[in-house]
Amino acid sequence: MRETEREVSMEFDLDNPSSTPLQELQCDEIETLFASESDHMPSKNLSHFNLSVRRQAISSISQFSRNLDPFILYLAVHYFDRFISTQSMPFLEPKPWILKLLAMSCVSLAAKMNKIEFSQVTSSSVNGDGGVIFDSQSIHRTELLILDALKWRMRSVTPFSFMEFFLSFFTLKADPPLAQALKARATEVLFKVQHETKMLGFRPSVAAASALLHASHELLPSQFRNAILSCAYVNQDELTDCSNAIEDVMVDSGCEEVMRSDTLSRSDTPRYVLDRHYSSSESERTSRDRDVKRRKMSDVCNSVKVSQFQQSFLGD
Amino acid sequence: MENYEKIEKVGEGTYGKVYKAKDKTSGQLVALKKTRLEMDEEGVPPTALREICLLQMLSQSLYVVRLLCVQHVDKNGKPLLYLVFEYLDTDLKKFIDSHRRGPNPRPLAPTLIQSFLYQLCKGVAHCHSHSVLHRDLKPQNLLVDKEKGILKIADLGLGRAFTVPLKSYTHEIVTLWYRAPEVLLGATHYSTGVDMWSVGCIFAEMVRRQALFPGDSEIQQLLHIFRLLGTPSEEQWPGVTSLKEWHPYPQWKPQNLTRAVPTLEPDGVDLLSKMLQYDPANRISAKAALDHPYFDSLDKFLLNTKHDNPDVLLPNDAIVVLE
Repeated sequence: MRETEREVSMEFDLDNPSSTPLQELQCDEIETLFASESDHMPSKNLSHFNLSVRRQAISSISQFSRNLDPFILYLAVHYFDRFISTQSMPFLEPKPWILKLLAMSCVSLAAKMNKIEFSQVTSSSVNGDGGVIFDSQSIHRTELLILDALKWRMRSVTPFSFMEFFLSFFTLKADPPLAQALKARATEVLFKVQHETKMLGFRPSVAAASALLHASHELLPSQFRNAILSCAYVNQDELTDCSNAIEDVMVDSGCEEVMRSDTLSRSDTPRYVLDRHYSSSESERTSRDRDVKRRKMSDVCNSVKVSQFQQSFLGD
Repeated sequence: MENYEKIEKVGEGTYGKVYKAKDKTSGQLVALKKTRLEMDEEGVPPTALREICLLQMLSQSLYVVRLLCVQHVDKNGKPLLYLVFEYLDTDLKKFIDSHRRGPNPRPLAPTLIQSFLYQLCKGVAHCHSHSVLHRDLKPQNLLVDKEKGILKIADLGLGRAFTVPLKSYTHEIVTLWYRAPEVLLGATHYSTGVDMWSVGCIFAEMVRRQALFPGDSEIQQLLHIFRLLGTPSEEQWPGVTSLKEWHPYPQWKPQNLTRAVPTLEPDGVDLLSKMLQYDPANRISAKAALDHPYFDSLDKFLLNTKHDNPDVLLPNDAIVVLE
């Protein structure tokens, strides 16, 4: 009986308290969420550690978690970043196998937190390209090492914890598919930008708001930005910085793929192009030329996405 | 390394020994709970990980004892886990006892009972809003700061990862006095109502200074309940006669609840009766209880300021090995 009940009581989603219906999420809990987010952040200043180390680790984590839910990858990278932030010794040139072991343990912990079966042994022997096979003892010891460094705070407050909260600013109740599309796109954006070093310093709530803003610009014209700016918890400057960072990443990566698309058509959605930048102030950028180029690129991307979106969802 | 100075063993909780200790740097008193971390072939058990997270999350409430940090130490290759909690000087059982026995026996002040019950409902509502049942609420698990009049819920269940379900660490039988009738009757599905029943029993105990239903076996426990509230019927509690442990019990008529708590004001008796409803579906929720007229006269602002004064400092990370 206790077992059954325990199953029920553990159903609460630890990483995503906002998956609780919002009306049940009390004001003080939202406040707590915002208040605690900085406890779960990697250090803003990771200067002491070689960023190529982070790239290597992320690549291993991606490898080990390639058959798993992308949230596991996200969480594992998040754990790695937090772990690395706690290291006071310079973490410059660790042996590749140490990095792999850390990566493996982060994936293992992330899988455990999400109640997902993850066979460490299989993964390491299959994926250990350097012929490294870890014994389970080493993985367990590394898990404990990471747990101690993270003070056993494995519930990570990530941007996903804030998604529902910010979505509620949108009057999308009449249009659940639209809200879903927005959330899905923002999630995609967050997955895409996580690996970028410049995203490390942003608070999870700011990243969530920025990703949703980015998605909303792509998917529909709206007053979303103003709504989000009205939120007392969000700092306007931080939001602008983070939005710019996200935009940089998206321009440099995702949109180029879209540009190659044959269906590209600039003329069909001029109003979205206007909406797209209604809020950007002239002082935001120092480099004008680059800015203009970027605008053009992102405008193109947006037009394509919006028209595709409209065709598939709105039947317009 | 030795950042905590052990002062004394204050108990053997359900999950292991508990020590009162002092943070050597800040002077802050803490409660150290030691528990074994059972590693399985997959390493740290996922249940242990998730339950610690749950504890951390629940302890964000002012009405739940704060988990300050978690430390793991290896002792002869066996991982031990220390949970460092804020320290409160007494618990509700000792507090009630001190009003019953000792040099100056006296009832608990009605406003104090009201305030304690309100804080208890706040904490329970917090747990329930996170889909967590306490399942073992009793005066021993409610810690009290006498000076400030603060009450906090402790000993939130660490479930499968740590416990021996029916016996406590010391093999002391887990008390039945606060156990809800559906649990005693063997219901396989139960919910937040089990905690609210316990809250009702604790409420009555604060008023009476003795337990409302002091049964010493499951059957005695049921008979205590039936004698006061009447033997439950199908009309009153649909499905009761189909429960696993249901037997044709003697038929008692319900007594007037006031007789059990003669000094309690009528609003209090009304709230108590709503907590002691047989049908769990009819039992008042913690959240609804907070809005009950019994609490109308409570100074909730004053209560908040009591809690808003956190002289709790975070202890240092290091931990002392106690043996």
